[in-house]
Amino acid sequence: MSESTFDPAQALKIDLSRGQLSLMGSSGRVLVPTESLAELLAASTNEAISAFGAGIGTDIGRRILERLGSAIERATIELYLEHLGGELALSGLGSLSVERWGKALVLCLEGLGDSAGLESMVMSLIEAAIQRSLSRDVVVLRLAKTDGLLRLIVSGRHAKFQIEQWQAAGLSYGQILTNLHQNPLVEASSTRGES
Amino acid sequence: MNLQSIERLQNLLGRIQQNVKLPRTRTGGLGAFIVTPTSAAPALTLAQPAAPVVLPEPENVLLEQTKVSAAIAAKSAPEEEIQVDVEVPSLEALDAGDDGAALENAALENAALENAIEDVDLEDIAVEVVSAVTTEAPSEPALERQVAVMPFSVPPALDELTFSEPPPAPEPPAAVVEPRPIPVAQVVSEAPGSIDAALLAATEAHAAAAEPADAERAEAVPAESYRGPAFTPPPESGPQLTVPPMAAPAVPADYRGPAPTIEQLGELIELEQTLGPPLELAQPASEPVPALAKPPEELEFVPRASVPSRPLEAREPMQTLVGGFTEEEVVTGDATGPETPPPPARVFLRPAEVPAAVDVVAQQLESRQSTPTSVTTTDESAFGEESPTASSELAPELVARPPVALARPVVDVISAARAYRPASFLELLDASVGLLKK
Repeated sequence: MSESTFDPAQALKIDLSRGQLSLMGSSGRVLVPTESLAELLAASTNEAISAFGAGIGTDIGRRILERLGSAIERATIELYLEHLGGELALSGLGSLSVERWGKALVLCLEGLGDSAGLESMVMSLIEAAIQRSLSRDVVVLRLAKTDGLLRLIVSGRHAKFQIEQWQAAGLSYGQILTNLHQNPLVEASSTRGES
Repeated sequence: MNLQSIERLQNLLGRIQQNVKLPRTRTGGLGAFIVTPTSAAPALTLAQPAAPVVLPEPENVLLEQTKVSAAIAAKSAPEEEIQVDVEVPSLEALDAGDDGAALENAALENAALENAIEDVDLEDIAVEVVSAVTTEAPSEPALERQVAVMPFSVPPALDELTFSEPPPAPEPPAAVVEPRPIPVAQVVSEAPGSIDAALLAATEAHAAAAEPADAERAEAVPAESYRGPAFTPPPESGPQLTVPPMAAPAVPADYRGPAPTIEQLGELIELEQTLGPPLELAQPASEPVPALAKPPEELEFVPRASVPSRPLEAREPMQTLVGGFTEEEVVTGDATGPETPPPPARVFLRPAEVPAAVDVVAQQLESRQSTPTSVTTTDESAFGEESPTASSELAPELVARPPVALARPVVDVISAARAYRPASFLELLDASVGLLKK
């Protein structure tokens, strides 16, 4: 498998004569302040924020897929994290890392501003990027944010409601992760799979 | 022979007779040397005048000194020296001077000398005439030639070693030192051209005279033959004492010298004679070695039919109860000495002597036979060869634990949960999406 590392060289180009920004060959970028964007997102609806983030994420997913090609299905966690985190970093959305809690995939984003609109936008962005690059319909939910580190869990749409209930019940993200693995449905399904 | 010659010879003889009476003297430097003539080699006597020599004028006839040594063998005196000085004109002088007169004079002198010798030819006097007439004309003045002669002072013909002893006492007249023979040609014929050349020639002559001494000096003087005083000579300054190498002297095989002394051999310790009878090793009488009727090649191996064994332990049945036993009950063994403690005895109970308490235990054991625990009667042989009879009512029983029915394996290994390690990001993603999935 070819290990295509993320290369940010000449990723951002500013055409001063034309007043244009291009990112990874994609022109038509605009540099806006984070606070302004947060205020805009805060005033926007959830659907608008999700659409805004999904648009950006789809573009990111497309570039990742272009770089990794068919090997993306066999890409290791580190390699995929390198590309996805590189794209987020180029967009100014923070530093991305991965935590694996058993079978649960937890993405940690650090450096993102304290804005619910931004968080919602980033979650929609990651969902769209994964869906575009890996052709998986996933749901990214917010687990917790401690010390500027935002933890996002990647799950299916069927688990979205249960996780939100646990969050509403005041469970910590550790308990939520534990409950995800101790769910009888999960155990029953795993037992059937083993048998 | 004319009268003049006769007169001169008579004078000479008178002088000889006078000299015979004089004590023998030895002078150095320019003095005359009186040498004892020998029959082996003609001795040379240099008759040098004590006064400085006044050389004649060159135009005059040069007369070389002729040295004649006459040894008179007198009956009373064993050896006498006769010193005869005869001036004989040399040929060069004849050439340089008046030819006719000189030749005539020379002929007259020679004839006179011959006549004198003939007249003196006595039976008891042996005269040796040594003529040292030079045949070559001197190319240098006579003064230089005299200088060349002067250094001929015969060194003391003693040993080559130089001693720092005081000068020896005046020797008796009889002690005459024999000088080293010096070649006449070397003494007379060499005439250096200058003073420096004369000194050099004198030095060379002296060195040449000392060469034989050096050659002898170079030879090592054996230590055993050295009789001089013990001193350390300077390096390379004289004959060195040679010490023979330290090697074992070669002793001939048939050497019958004196036997080594006690000091050489050391102290000898004589061993005492043994006390008591000599040691004898006797064969055991119990197992005499049978004489071989057959040679060893024809012998056959026959195993022993009955090996004489030692008496086995005999365990007698106990006559009394536990706690007391007689000497008969003690197992007799090999210990025969009175001080040897007896081995412990094994005591068995006889059925007739079992107390009632033992019967109770036996009944309890019999009642347990119905229980699942298996009770087996032990073999009688476990108690020895002389165990009680097998039909005894009360016998020790061994209660064995029943075998364990292993319905399940004894060891149950609980393996650790296999850690989930996704190989790719997509695998982890699918697993995470599958959480809480129905």
